[in-house]
Amino acid sequence: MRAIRLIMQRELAQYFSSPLAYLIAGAFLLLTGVTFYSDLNFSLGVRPVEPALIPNLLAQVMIVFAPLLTMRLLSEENREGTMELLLTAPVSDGNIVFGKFLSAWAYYTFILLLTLLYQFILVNIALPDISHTIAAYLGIWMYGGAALAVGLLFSATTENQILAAFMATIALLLLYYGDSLGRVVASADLAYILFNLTLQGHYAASFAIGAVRAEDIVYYAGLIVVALFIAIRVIESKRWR
Amino acid sequence: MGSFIGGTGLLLGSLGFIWQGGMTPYIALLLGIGIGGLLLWAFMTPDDFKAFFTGRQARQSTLAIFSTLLLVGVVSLAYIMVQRENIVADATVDGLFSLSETTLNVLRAAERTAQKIEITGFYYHYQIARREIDDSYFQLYVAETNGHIYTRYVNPVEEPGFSDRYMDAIDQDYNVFISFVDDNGDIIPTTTIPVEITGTQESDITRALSQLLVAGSYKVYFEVGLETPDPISNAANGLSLANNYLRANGYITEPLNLPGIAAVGGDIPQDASAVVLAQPRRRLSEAEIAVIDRYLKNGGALYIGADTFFTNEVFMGNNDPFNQYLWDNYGLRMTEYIVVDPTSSGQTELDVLSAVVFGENSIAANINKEGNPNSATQFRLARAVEVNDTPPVTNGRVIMSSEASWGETDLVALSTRNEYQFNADADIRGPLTLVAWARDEATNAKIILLGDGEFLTNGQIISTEGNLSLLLDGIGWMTGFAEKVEFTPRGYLVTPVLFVGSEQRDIIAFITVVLMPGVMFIAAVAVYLRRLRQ
Amino acid sequence: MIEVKNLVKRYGTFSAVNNISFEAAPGEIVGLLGPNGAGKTTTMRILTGFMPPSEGSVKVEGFDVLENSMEVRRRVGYMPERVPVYLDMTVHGYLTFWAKLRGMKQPNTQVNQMLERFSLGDRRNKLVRSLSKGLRQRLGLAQALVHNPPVVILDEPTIGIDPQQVIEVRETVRALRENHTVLFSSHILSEVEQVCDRVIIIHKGKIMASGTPQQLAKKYKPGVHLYVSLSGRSQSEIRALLESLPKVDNVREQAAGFVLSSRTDADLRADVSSIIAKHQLTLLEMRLVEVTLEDIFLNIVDKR
Ligand SMILES: Nc1ncnc2c1ncn2[C@@H]1O[C@H](COP(=O)(O)OP(=O)(O)O)[C@@H](O)[C@H]1O
Ligand SMILES: [Mg+2]
Repeated sequence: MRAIRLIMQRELAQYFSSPLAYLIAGAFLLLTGVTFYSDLNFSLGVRPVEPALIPNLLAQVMIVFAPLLTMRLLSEENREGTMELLLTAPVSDGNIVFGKFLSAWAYYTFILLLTLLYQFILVNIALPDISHTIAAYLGIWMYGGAALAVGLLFSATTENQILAAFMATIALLLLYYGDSLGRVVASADLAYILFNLTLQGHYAASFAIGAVRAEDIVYYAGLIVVALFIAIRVIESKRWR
Repeated sequence: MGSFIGGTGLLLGSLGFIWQGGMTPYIALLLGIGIGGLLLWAFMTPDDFKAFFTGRQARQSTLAIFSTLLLVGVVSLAYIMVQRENIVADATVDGLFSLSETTLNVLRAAERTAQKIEITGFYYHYQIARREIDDSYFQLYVAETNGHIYTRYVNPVEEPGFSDRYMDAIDQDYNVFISFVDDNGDIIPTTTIPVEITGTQESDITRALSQLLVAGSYKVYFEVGLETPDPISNAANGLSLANNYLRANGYITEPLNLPGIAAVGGDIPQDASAVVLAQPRRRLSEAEIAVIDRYLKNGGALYIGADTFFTNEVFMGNNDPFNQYLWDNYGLRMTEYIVVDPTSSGQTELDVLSAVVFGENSIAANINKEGNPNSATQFRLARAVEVNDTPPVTNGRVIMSSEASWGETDLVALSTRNEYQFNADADIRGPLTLVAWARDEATNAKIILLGDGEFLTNGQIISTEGNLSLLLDGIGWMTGFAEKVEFTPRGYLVTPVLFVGSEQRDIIAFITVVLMPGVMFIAAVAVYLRRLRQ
Repeated sequence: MIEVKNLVKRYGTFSAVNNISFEAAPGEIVGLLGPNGAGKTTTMRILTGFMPPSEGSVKVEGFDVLENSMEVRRRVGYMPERVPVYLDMTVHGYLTFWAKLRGMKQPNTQVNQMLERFSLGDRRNKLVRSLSKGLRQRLGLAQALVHNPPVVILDEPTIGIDPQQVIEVRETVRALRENHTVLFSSHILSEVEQVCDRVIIIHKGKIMASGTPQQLAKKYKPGVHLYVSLSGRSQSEIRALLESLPKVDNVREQAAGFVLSSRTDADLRADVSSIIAKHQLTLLEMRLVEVTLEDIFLNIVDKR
């Protein structure tokens, strides 16, 4: 636990001392801010503001955003050689991966919390469906965790950050639009299975519309566990080579 | 790489096998890819492959792969188990995923039916997301009735035979149907009610369900013997649209041949909750009027769309005995002047909108709703209705034209030169009545008289929401059906954005679009500068 | 305390380390010597628990690296060949991180000690990014020592730094002898000779020779070597005279004089003196020549 905390703290400090992380956060807030404000203008007096507005946007943005946050986590250690020190320190591979993952997730959570300011504004000018919004945030929080875990997995496989980000983006695209494969073959059953394997399949039809389903939480948690587990195995396999 | 493809293929294949509980072509395909990948691996990098199966390293890799597979298996199993349980928490303030009192009452009734009820959803394979969203709602009904109501999903591409009958509706975005099923589990087609999924799924489904439950209680006959179009045929004529809407709303509809009945001295069937006369093109004979009179005295209901025809024998023209009959008995009659409304926002001033509606009964309940201009009715070329203000029975107006309108009497100029102009001597000053109603308390006879029939026969019931409401709410009022199936929407707690002035809006724009990202960008610069100094 | 028995490490089918065994006791500085690609780094990585051995057993402080990897890692301080650092941390933060990660609860005093010891105190709040190669090397050493491990493993700690810094590093390593078992690798022979108590020479994954520098010198270059520089006659005549001495096996020209070698331990100086007296030569210089590991290494490698 201590090792996880130490590694997580170090990575978080890294995030908050890197100009790039603030640039990403700024771009992120600009995007969500513009989206929020324009939706607000459209819905003035006409309809309630979409409760899952920001999370819905994030569902797509995370495809690019998650690899950006995770690409350097392990590949940089591999490239700089610090991995050798980490792997000879008395901490398990799991602790390393988990600490890294938690730092990315914590940073993501931080940005997510910043966007709650929009909800604060809304509460003052309307009666929004706060609990629906919270459900959507819960969903996108877990969704983001899963996307970050996948990004971390690819960061473990290569020394090249750009390559890691690129592969993670492809993987996330597959995980997001994977059900489109089901469109090629005209089978609803296949499409259903694929849909249930995709990230959006466990967000769009539940959290986004205000229903919190236990299976979706299991899916995201499961995806996180599996992706991290494979990442640990990847690191382990590097030892054995 | 090969090992990766192979492993993944095998994994997905075996998972699919567990999931589906059997072999399907896709699973075979996945397993095939898996084995192919492994062969590729063995073929391309024999050393690597050999090393995998020997020595310490081999043990390690095997352990890694199998532990991964095991973990994926455990996770999948947990997922499938939880999914079967279908645990859902409703997070919406309006309780969108909690069934309301109204729905629960309908469901109590639904549970007592002898036959099971099937929700048949037609979703293409590329509409799975939509299906899943709808399913979240359907499952509430399934769970609440312990499976007495159940769902069945059909992909029109995969089951074209089954879907064929529904294709017209599916093309019009009616892709969900509720039906009773017989003992073999087959849908009883005559009971099928289409459901329009609008985004307020619960009321959509519950309304359809209650219609299903009372369906068959009400029969509406379309008169077809007076040179009126055939409503039942699915050939795309406008009246069949009206027919389909009535059926979609739980009515049974049938054709009725008035001249035929009159010829043998028969009667309109007892079960006719209402008879629709849509745009007849000739006068009624004395015998036909007698048939109608007997029907009305028996508590019948007539929905009359009396159109304008520039012919000699105008239905309900000035000297039509039927016009006289209605005036004498119900205090309603048709005039022969045509309503021109300069304030109309239609294409011409002859497109008359509902300017004033009357709320004495439910006929106009959904017309001219506040904030929804589309809920006005629109008639193309309408005759005015005359209402006797000291009538033999209760009667009243439903829709009137605007103050600025007038009744054009120079039909020759209108029909030959398309000219119309207010002539203070000849023309009648507005506002004029477009739709009126009458009800005989003694016999419970009901009449709705409309100065336009074309809106029924020309498919214009969907040109505005108001037109459709005029049909459905009018028939509903006459049959009494409306009161029974009304689904009162719950009071929504969520409101649109209300209290925002332009100043406030500027502040919000500043905070969200400038301030928040700006702080981050400044922080980026600050961190960069600090790093330079270190 | 390090015990390596029949260690083998294969990358695929290639054996980078091929059946080597050695031991290192506490208070001993053992040098791993070998050219690039000899297998030094591989051996050290196995010792630190970075990678598992393919065959054989490796024990550090009595713990097996496979079975008790964590115990081993807790007791080892390691400086890898490339001296990896986190560029965006401060010097102080970097040391603190490793100290804590290796289990120290309150590392502040040790960290400060290390900073003083390696003269990094004035740079404690600088980013590692700003340090020169030599300073990073010191930071790497501090990192390996901050948790005061019983076993210290340094992979080519003097590579790529300037001579002054090399001397500092050597002194540091020598000072470790008292409390630590030190394993030190290098491909520079003189360095190992100066620093180590014991040398293990490996080449192509195999141990070629091992022992103290003196033992090795004895074994691979026995005998006495004497450098003499004379004048009074022509060089060729002097050479003939020297070669005529019975105890001298070999005469080699070097600089302004000759190196005389004898297989026995006999003292050649008396013989040389007698020639000087006999032929009235003038002695310019005469001294004993030390055997270098360079010689030994060339000797061993040549023999194979
Ligand atoms: N990860 C690896 N994969 C394959 N071969 C390697 C790997 N690491 C080292 N080698 C090979 O093993 C041999 C020993 O390498 P190393 O232990 O680094 O030598 P040294 O440190 O003595 O220079 C070299 O021939 C090198 O090419
Ligand atoms: Mg090396």
